[in-house]
Amino acid sequence: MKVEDNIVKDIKFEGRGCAISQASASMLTEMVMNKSLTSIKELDKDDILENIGLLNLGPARIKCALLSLKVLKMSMVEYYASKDPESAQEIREGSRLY
Amino acid sequence: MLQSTTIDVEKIREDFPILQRRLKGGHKLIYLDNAATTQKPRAVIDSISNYYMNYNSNIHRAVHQLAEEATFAYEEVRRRVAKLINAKSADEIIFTRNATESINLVAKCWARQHLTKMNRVLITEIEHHSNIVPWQLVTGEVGASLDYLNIGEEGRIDIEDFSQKVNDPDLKLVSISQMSNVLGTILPVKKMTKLAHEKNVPMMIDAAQSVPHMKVDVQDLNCDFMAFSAHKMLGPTGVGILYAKREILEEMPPFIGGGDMIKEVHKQTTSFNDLPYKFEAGTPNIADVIGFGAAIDYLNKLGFENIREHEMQITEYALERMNELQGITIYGPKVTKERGAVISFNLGDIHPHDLATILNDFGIAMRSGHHCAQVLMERLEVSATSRVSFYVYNSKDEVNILIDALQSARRLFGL
Repeated sequence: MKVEDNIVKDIKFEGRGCAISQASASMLTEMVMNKSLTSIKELDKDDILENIGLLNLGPARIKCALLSLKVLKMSMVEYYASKDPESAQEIREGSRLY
Repeated sequence: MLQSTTIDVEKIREDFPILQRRLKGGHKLIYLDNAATTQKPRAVIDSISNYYMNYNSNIHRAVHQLAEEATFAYEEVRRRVAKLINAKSADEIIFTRNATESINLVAKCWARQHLTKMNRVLITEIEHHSNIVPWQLVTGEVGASLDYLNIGEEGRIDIEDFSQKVNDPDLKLVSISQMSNVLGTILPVKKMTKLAHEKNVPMMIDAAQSVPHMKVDVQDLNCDFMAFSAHKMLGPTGVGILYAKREILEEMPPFIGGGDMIKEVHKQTTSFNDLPYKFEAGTPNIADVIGFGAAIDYLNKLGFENIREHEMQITEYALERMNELQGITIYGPKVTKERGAVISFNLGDIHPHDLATILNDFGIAMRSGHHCAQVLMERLEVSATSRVSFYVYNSKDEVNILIDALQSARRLFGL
């Protein structure tokens, strides 16, 4: 992920996994391209599930759909950890699965 | 109905309330995840509610009638477990929470006492995480090493390689599973125990996948420790068993401290209770131990030889039908005599989680993932497999539905 002036300028992913995890990762990169980190902070699991059109995933498969969001959010936690610990904590809480 | 020759599956199915339920879409439940946990017959469920409804009380201490009945029922199950695996004495049977806790008990109370920096513990590449992580923890704590026996094709071990590896003065313990939870491979544990003992190395057997499915005799195997759990053999969750030889248990320090494991407690010192109570601190899982007793009775009535025969027949049939599918990779032994009723496979490049989701739409409960055996997954060079595992209530008709579902998955993915 390449960020310039708080805006995602480029984002790619590498992965191997089930159809849901790969599709949702791909769609997530499209969702956040050219968006500000401030707006990405607000992204939550319902946005992802709605976007991939799978609203009734069970507790096991929801992990597949949200894996990429979790990775994205955790990298943001790391990014904010030193400069804005409050936001980091907020993002961490917001990325809980259940 | 394609009948198994040894047990009456249709009749058995009537004993399992859960098999009567319908899933989403009106599907019958086809439960093929028995290596993870098995379903419970009415007799087990009833024995648990009977305890709570009629004689619920704490055991061992109180002198009233309820306590007497509960204590008798609980201790009676210990005797039945001893008989099940042919232990010399019921004192050699320790109730734990699960097989994992049983292995951890040995790691903490035996290995921690006997290992030094110089020593090694030997396990295999097919182990479940429960027979890997406790050894990593204890060897890490004392600075000892953890060695692996490599497995060959189909999950077999090389007995020559094993006899070389046990010929090591620094080796202190071997811990291996009798049957792989992924490949179904049955390991020659009796022979391995003999070889280990020739070098004075004690042997622990993870029997979580074997005791439910075949006759296991600890005196015949001559192993020093054995772990298994109730819930994989029609019993409730929350009950594990540790078997160990009396002389070994006697010299082991207690696991956790508290009530029931003591003889006398003073301000600074405690003398510990006799076996097996030394290892059972606090109120145990009385109800579920009693439920496990009903499960053992149920399995004994069917007969373990009949169960094994039934499982071999259904596994052979399943292997034969699955091999008809183009693009399928089946892991583990091809010969049913050398394997349990567990089949791991991959279908083309369909991810196992996707396959399991498709099969779920047919009412089939199948496992997908790494099956708590990531070391084995690395060895097989796959990230995951699909796994079906059978038990006493599974029929060849269900295998046919599985094959239809797999065919339809192939079509869906354009294979």
